[in-house]
Amino acid sequence: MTHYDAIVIGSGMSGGWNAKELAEKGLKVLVLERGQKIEPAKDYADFLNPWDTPNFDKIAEDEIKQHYAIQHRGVGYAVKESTKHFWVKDSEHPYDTPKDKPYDWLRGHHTGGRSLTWGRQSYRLGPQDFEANKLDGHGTDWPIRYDDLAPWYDYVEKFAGISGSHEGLPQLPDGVFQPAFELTCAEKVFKKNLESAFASRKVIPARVAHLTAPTAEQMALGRGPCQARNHCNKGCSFGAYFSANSATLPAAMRTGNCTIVNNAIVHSLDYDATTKRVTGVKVIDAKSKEVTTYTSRIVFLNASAIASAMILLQSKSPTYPNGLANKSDQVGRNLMDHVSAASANGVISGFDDKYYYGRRPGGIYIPRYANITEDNKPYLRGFGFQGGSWRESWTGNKAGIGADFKESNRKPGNWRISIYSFGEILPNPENRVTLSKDKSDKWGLPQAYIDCEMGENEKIMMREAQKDAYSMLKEAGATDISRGPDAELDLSLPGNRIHEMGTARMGRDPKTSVLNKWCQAHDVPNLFITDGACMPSGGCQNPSLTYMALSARAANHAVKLFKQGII
Amino acid sequence: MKNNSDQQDSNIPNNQEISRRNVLLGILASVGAASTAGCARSLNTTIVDLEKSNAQHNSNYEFYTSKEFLLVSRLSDLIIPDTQTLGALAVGVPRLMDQLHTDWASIQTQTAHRDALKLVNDELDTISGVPFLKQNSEAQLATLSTLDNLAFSSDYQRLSAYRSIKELIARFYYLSEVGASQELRYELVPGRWEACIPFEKVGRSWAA
Repeated sequence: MTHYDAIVIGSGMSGGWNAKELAEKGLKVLVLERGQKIEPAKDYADFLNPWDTPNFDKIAEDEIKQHYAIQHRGVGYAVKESTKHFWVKDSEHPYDTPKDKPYDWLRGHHTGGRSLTWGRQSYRLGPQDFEANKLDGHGTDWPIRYDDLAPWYDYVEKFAGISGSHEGLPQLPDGVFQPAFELTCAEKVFKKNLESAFASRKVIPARVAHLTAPTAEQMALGRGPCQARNHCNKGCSFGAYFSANSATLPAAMRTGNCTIVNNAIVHSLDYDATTKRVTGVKVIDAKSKEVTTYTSRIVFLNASAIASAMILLQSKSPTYPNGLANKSDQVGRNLMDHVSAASANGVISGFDDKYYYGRRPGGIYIPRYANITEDNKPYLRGFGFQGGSWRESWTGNKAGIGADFKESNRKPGNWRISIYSFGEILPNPENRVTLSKDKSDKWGLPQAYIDCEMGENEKIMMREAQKDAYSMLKEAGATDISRGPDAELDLSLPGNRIHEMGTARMGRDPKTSVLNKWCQAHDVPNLFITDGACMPSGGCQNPSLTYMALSARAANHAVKLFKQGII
Repeated sequence: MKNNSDQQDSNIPNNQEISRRNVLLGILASVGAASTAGCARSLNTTIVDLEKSNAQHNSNYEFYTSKEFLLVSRLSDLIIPDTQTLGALAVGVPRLMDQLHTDWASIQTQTAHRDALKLVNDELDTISGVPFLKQNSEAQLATLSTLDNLAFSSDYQRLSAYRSIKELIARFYYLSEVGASQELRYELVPGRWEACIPFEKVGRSWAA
């Protein structure tokens, strides 16, 4: 069968949602996934003890150099011998950048995409984030406001399962939460002292996509409560954190309306100038290189921000010689991520007689205060801090040998608390992905050429964030603070936060944006893009929850148009 | 990786064949003085376990020379000896370090590690005034204590090689089954998060 009601390109965070929504509404859906199938029993490594894997589960140094240089540089904590199949081999999936502008394109090609390996931090954008572009003139105005998306945040949170606390913060709206993971005693003191010293700042439990009180709907999908293992980078056999694999794709498949085809690399989208519709998706089989064209009435593009832009740019026709839906010349532009650099940790005294049980898959969050509850900052927009506390544990890096050395490692050391920043990157049309003019991959498709760098606002913001990190720890009573206010800052490489966004932005004006308020291409009404590409700006919050909400909203709109016969 | 155990070792008579089992038995014999008396039973287990684990390896130590393996073994045993729980030698840390440098390490890392071992061996020989590996266990303990003190005080920069080896031994030990789940605490599936509980309820550091 090669004809479907809808084709979803990409099976990850946003593609999974579209597959679920479309299939549950009765559409026959084809999901095209360029990577391999994931089988939890075979592919997850979450039941391995530390001693079960040789060499600390590290990939051989020569193999890293040859095949995983970028992936390992970016997320070495997650790219292990037992999990390397969740990440691409850089040697097989090359891309190009200017020599002085390295970019971390960190990704995996498999069913579920990066929803399998994400950080699970789940925050709503706030009203200010939908208004920021209009307010300061960077980027173009969002075509929707917070209230447009709020019910869809409710909708996806209820299904996905987000643990968190109700805080009543306007800039970080509350949602449909399952119980939050409790703060440690050190974090409670940190919160009390910090909020006392800075009335405009808050410390809250991290909001993470982990089930702490699963609903009947979640359990019916075979999902169970979080076991506090923090093995999430290895997959979760309990389905306790949200992923396309644990939640949306099973929901789509149980309808009987969804088909997933793996090893399906999208070459391009076919466009019919007469009907002004996408008519099909040309696919190369990753293994056989056989070419197949699938047809449908609706296409959702969810290949991730860079790959989705590349598919559009590859889809040239007389009507769109510069790439499908690209009359605005905005496809591939405004590539964003988040920026990190500011960080510090310090000792919180006391509680030597206290400890914790389990490995919590989250920590604390300090919501954005800059240019919200505090003014007169020398930069635009703002940042949040993620963090958490722990007790120092065993180490070989201390004096002593013999039985005394062993004994000294039996008792944990100080409580430490750490915070690290995630800042907003301004949309900038010069940060962009284009198709390489002279380099192609082994399937004959042009390589990505990514030209992206941090701007002055990001640099100034991180400089100030470092001062804030130090002062907050100090005022909260921390000692032995690891990095001072003037500590050297090494900004995260663009892409390193794995939040690429913006390459096919929504907007009000077809001349300056690619998509309308429904994530629907202005000029191609049966084409929707709901991955990070659609974002007009990024806020400073981790964006996956917003992708989910935008996807569910767009899919339900598409179904309405489909049933009305409009598309 | 080529087996280096046939390389000439100036500290071992040429006519003495050093099989891996002999080295292990020699090490374990010398351990007696440094280990608690209560561990006699575990020594037999140790030999068996080590031999079993050796059988899983392609050959004997593949990366280390006999002398290097002996040095790593002595360091492992002296730094983390058998006490109420097995120590680093008994859980096979030297073999794990050999495997790491055989299977994981690049040539650069292998070279750096070999250089580190040589430096440590030379330092120990200098401190003891005789070849460290020929000292009895009690004397080795005293010599290594001196080096350890220097490496964490006045000679911090110069003796980073020693600290790197010590850290590696500790890491392998505390992430071994014995180190993690007997000497310290480890739960593969904790099942719950308790944020602030009396330390006694856990009793020891979490290994991971």
